[in-house]
Amino acid sequence: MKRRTAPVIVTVLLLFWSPALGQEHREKDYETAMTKGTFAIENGDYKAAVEYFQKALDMKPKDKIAALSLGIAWSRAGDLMRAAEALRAALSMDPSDPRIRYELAVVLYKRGETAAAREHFSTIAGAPDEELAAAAKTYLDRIAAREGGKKLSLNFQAGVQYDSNVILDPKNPVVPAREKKSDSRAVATFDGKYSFLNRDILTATAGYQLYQSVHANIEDFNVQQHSLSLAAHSAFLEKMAVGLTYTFSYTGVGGEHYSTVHQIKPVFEMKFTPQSLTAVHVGYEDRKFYNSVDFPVNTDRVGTNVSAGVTHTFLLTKEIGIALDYTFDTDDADVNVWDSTGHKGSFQLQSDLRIVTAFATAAFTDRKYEETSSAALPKRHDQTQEYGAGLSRDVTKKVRLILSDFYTFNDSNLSQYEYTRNIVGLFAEMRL
Amino acid sequence: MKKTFIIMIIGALLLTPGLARPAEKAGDVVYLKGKAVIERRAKTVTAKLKASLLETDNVATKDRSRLKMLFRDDSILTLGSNTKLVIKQYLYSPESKRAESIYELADGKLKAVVGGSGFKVTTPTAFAAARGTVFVIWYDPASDTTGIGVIEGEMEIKNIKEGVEGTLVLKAGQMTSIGGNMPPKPPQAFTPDTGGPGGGGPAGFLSELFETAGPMVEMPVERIEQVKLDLVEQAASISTPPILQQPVNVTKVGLRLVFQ
Repeated sequence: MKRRTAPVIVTVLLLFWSPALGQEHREKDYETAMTKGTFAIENGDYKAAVEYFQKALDMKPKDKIAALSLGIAWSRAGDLMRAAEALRAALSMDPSDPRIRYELAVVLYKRGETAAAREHFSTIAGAPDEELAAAAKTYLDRIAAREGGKKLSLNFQAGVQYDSNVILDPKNPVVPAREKKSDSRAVATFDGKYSFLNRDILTATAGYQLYQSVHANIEDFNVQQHSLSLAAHSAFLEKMAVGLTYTFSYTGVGGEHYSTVHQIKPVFEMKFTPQSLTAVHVGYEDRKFYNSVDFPVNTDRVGTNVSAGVTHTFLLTKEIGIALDYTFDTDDADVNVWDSTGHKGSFQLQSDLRIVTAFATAAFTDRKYEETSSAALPKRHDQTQEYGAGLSRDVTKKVRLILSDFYTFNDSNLSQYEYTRNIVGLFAEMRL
Repeated sequence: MKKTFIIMIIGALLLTPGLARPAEKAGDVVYLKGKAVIERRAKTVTAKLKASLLETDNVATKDRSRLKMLFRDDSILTLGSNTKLVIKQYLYSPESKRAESIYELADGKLKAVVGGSGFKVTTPTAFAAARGTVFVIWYDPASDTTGIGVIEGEMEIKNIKEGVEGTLVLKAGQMTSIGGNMPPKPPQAFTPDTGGPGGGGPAGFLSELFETAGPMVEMPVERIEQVKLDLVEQAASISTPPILQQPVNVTKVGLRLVFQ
């Protein structure tokens, strides 16, 4: 018995007391644990990373990099409490280390402790490490946006337009047109948005919009529209976002109730490249129209509209942006002469020419109506071409002038629906 | 007959050593600071984090850059700035998780943490073999000198030229240098602050190899941002009155026609 016990005791004593044996592979094991932990983090295996870094820290309890790495692993694993604990321990080992301070600030930011996070980020924003300083600055901007960011944005527009065909008088009217179809008008709009939720990945706004036009002559075509909207937008992933907007619009024409529309518009956005945005949008509208002296059969158009489409917006260069859209929609009206389906393709271009910003738009819509108003007539089939162009110039930081011209040509197989319209306008826009 | 001929050709191609064994994955890039390139089959690609490394790859770091590689046998190689390394041979056995590897350091400096495998590194003047060792090795083409310092374990070193006699076993805390056609110099004390090449260069020459970096900085996630043509949107919103308008007198007539 004694003969067996003695060698074991000697071995154990040697193992514990001999520094050479105890530390034989300390550096190698530490380096291996740190490297594997780092690689596990890059591969998203945070649980494994925690184990590796804990092992490294056990080997070198006063190693600030091991403590920092453990904190980062906990942070990315989502355990912010343990992350803060590890990072505070690391910071106590070297309070001047900007990397540790940065990671602690990130954890505090994620925990919603923005005041403390801001303090740490502010220290790092001036650090010589450019990468770290830039990252800290981004977080500071986000904190500013979250805490003291603009909650209310207001936008006013006022201007004059000349409209060649206010009433959409056809080229070949069945009954004689009004004496006057062209007119000039003053237009004013107001757009107010209040951001009542502004989180890192979720924003929500409430908005109110007013449109008012006053014609020089054709007063019964003065339009007043009030719109209320609620919108939420969530950038839930780095390259994906969803949005949902509800809008209620009340429109009066010539002082009489013209229409009421409820619209729900979900959108799914994807960012395939940093300079582009692809949005898949759908829409549902519940439309109510009201009769008046000028629109005696307006209620025939009461119904719903469903649309779906995709918009791809991209920056061709830093100065030139292009948007392409395709939308399919279908109208389902109470009186089925107004039932229709439409396909619309559009192109928009905006270019910053330094002194002015220019834009051009073109759209083509093919709309087929499903019923005819008379057995003697074919089903209505419209093809609408729309073109627009304009220039804008910033007068001050908050005021810009917009000069625009929009031309519409509606070609129809029923000649009484064929019309052209040209609207030239000059507006001043003020952003607050 | 034609079929047999094709089968024979395919068989011959498969049996040709160079073609039968495609370059095996040796490891991954696990840390990268600055810029580095990987040369593979005469093509040069920019090294990226998590990039795979294959046997016969040439890895080169640029100025003020550092690259760390984790190999399948758990060996770790950290390249300092302006370093060129060739993975000459990497034979890995998944069963035993061991590898027989040969690396060629053509220029610069590296730190190696060697797993339990057979690990050899060559420079234009030195041949070193290690197992379970942590060491640094650097080569300076200007003086045609290799320096080696051992941090943990031990390694065998000799001049790579066959005619030059003399093998040195270097232990932890020791360093040596091998220049031209000379055998390794007698061991000297080694610390990470040792200057190189040959121990005679500026102090801190090797310090970058000893900086433990930890995980890469995670930049704030760029959440999806709107790419908008704001002017077009604004101008379009006031281009026409916001009513769902139809030619006005047609509507009236349409009704009249229905009633007639």
